[in-house]
Amino acid sequence: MKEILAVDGIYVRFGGVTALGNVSASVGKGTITSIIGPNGAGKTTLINVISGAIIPSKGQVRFDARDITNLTSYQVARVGIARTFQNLKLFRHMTALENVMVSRHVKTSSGFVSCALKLPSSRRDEDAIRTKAMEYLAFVGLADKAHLDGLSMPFGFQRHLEIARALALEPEVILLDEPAGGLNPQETEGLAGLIGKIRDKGITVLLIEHDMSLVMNISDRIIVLNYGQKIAEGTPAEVQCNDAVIEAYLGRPAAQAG
Amino acid sequence: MGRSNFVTLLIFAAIIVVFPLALKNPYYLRVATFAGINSLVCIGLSLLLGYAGQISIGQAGFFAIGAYSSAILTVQFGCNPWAGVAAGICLNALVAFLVGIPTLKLRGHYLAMATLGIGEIIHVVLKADTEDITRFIAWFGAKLGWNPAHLTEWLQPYRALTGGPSGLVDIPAVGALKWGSVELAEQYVRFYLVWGVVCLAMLLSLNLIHSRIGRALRAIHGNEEAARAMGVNTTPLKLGIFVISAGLASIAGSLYAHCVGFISPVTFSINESILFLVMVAVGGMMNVWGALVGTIIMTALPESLRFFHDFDILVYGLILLLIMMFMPHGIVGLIQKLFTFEKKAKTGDT
Repeated sequence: MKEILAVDGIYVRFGGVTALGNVSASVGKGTITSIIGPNGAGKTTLINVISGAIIPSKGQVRFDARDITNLTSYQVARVGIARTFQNLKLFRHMTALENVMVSRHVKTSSGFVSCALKLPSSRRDEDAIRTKAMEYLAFVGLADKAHLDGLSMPFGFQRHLEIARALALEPEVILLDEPAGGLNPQETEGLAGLIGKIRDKGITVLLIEHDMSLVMNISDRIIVLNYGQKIAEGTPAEVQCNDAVIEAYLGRPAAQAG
Repeated sequence: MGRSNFVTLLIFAAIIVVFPLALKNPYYLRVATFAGINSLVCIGLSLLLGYAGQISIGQAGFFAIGAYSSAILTVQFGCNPWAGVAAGICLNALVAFLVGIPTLKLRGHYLAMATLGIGEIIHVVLKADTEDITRFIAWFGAKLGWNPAHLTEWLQPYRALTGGPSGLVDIPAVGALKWGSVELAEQYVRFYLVWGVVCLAMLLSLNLIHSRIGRALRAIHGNEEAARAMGVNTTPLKLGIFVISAGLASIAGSLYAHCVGFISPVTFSINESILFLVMVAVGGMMNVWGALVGTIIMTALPESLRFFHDFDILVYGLILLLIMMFMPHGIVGLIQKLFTFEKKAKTGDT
């Protein structure tokens, strides 16, 4: 399988704490890969490293065989890696549609002057932005909520809106940071369907999730982190019976302890 | 720009056209002209503050650069007034660019600090007399072990250039217009000129706000981290809007110089910068219409506060306090809220 995204020997230190120590992993094109691990294992840190929000102390991030380690977040978004946030970060005082329209900013180019004068090029841009944004809202099933204020929508819709916003960048890889967090089982089921649909569009999905049934159902591969180290990697079946993983989640049996 | 904004702008323009005809007192017309000049500065400030989320406490400095560029070029060098306007805009753009580059890369209110400083520097430089400048250069030269004695002579004309503390007089003022037998008195010409420019600035600002650029700026304000994660390069956008706000202040300064006919440094102190901020806050910072409403109210208000004499600054403080406590989105924000509330109540949608 062709590798699209890879991290190689990543170290991230915050003061004296090693958030990630020598983590290497690779993601195959068109797959759904999940990162799991107990709280504080370094999952979100890894996503932040890939998306350019954190520059690692050591190691390399590769996208499509290109070194993107030192790109900052807006540059990473432009090369084709989009993300969502664990703690929703929607734009305040903007409708759902406007939230998605922001992502089309980089796909258009009219500048200050042509926008202020409303030249034909900026009108064309604006029409294209609106059409595309509506398309992605419809894709996540929020077409009829387009004109609601993003932040006053129900939580589940907000999660979907973040995904629509990321998809509107037309990325090759989408990083989903705990998209099922705070969703009820029904909503989670809907989310699983949506992630499948994203994969079917040919977009590679890298997912961080705590909801194990979701992860085991939809992942092609799973990477397990604990205390900033990668402790296991494999298919859902392989990971489920891995001793190190069971120990990380449940602790060591009392008989072996000590 | 949405349809409703366009209609509002048309109504607004119509009010401007008939306003002087309904008003016979030339003094009020003068106040209204000043309100227009202040509005230009405040539209720029509102773009910066309300849409990009950046504060400038130095708009009076940019206002001053515009006014002095116009005054110096026309009075001292006999240039065409348009040359003064253009020079002011270019100089302001340059200053804004230099101040903005290091500060706007950072998140947080570094721009506020830097503009506070630059506004005060501009004020001090304009207020300075030749002796102040020579003394400063001598002091600075001594620090570097360099004797700038030969500069002193060269600096002599400085006072004559800016007029020092007393400012510049005899700036060519906008005069009456004549078409055959029809004559438009100078106060009307000034009023229509200033408010015509305000309308144009409103049109361009509204266009900009409702474009990809404006949306990206609002996104930065709404959540900077998310905006960057969606591929928005925040620095050039913030820089661009800051330069635009400085440019608008410059145009306002040039208009001021040519409408009043004389300028002095007192007009461009930090108090004026703060007053611009109050105007924007009163009207509502999330909306350029708010800047307009706030400016009109805060320019007209001092006239009705005359009986407070020197205590009017206390009244401003009280107004700002009350606005921040009870309507943080300003007057226009409050009206909008009431309006949408009503709409929601009608459709039963909450």
